[in-house]
Amino acid sequence: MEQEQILEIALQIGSTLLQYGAETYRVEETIKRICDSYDLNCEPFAFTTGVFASAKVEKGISTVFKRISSRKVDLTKIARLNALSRRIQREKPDYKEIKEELDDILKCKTYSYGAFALSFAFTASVYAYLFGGSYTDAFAALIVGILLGLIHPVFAGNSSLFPFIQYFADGFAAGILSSVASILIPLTDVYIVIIGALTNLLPGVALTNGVRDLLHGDNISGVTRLGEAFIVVAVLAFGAGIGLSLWNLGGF
Amino acid sequence: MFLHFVKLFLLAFIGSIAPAVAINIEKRLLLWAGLGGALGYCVALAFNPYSLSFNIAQIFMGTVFVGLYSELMATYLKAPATVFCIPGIFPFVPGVSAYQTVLSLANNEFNQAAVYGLNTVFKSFTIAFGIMIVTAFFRFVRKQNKRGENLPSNSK
Repeated sequence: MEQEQILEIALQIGSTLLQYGAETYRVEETIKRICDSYDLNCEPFAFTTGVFASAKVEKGISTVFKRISSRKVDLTKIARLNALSRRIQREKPDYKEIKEELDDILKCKTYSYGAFALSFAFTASVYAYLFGGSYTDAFAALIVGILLGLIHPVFAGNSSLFPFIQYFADGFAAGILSSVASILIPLTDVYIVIIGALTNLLPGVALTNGVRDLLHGDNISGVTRLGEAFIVVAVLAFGAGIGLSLWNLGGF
Repeated sequence: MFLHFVKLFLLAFIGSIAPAVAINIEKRLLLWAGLGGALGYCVALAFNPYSLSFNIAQIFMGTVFVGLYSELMATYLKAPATVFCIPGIFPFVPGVSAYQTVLSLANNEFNQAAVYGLNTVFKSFTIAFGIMIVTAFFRFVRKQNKRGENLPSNSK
């Protein structure tokens, strides 16, 4: 395998890891591990929206940069990419084989639309109860969660929208749906239902990963991740607040 | 009391599995990730079973347990530790106080916002710290082991 190809493969694996929510140090370590196993001396650098690596090759110095446009957490892809990088280290397969495996990982199947909606519903209902709601609140959150889980992929799957609009739409939907649920189901607290429904969308992973990066010494990605988490929370709360007040304005 | 624990164990189990499905965990690891989250929650709960809102020390104990569980399961089930960590810490993540911070800011209640904001910051720091301590420890042990393995081959 040529040295440029090694760098390309390493960067592709690294950027995919970053795109699906791996920590910064894992991305850098993976790139370094792959290059090291082919005796290529490289310096990787990863931050939240891109990753680059520079290596000394025969013709001089080669640098590859990959920009990441959309991010979402996907544990299956992280696990399989990690396994792939270990396999590369152990067996050193050739370029074509790695490419095929990478394509296979990118196409790996996700849970069905229905299972996704159900997971939203259960999360919403469990956390509505744990945050001090009653059983009726939990039931209302279950209904709101299912609807939110059905709505969410419509916006999240659309790459032409800004992330801002996606989060706003999610928050807005949560606000409106919870207001409707609190009217249809007696004795429910709108705020508990909203909090339960929003637990699905709150950036818990970004928040803790941000602090983890900071503690690890990756200050740039740590601060950017925390900033991202803050923006997401702000936009969600903004959307939910507007949804609620619009509903109240309507005189219900 | 026992029933109280069983109920919360089941709730935390669902509360770890459901978000894990939303972030597409592998099917073979799903129940294991849920078990880690539920056990971690019960560890935190054992220090003060009467309140469902945890303090910093409880969260720390819970996340240290989740970290240990994840590292052990990572070796046992051949998957990266993050796969167990992220669902496991989900019941502790202070998403709600983050939301309440922004909500109080929007309502001009700055004192409330400061309280919720500090709460959020400290809790997320505690979670990350608990996980990092365990990760750092395991890395240290693995490095030492590797060095031990390499020594005889070098001396040949």
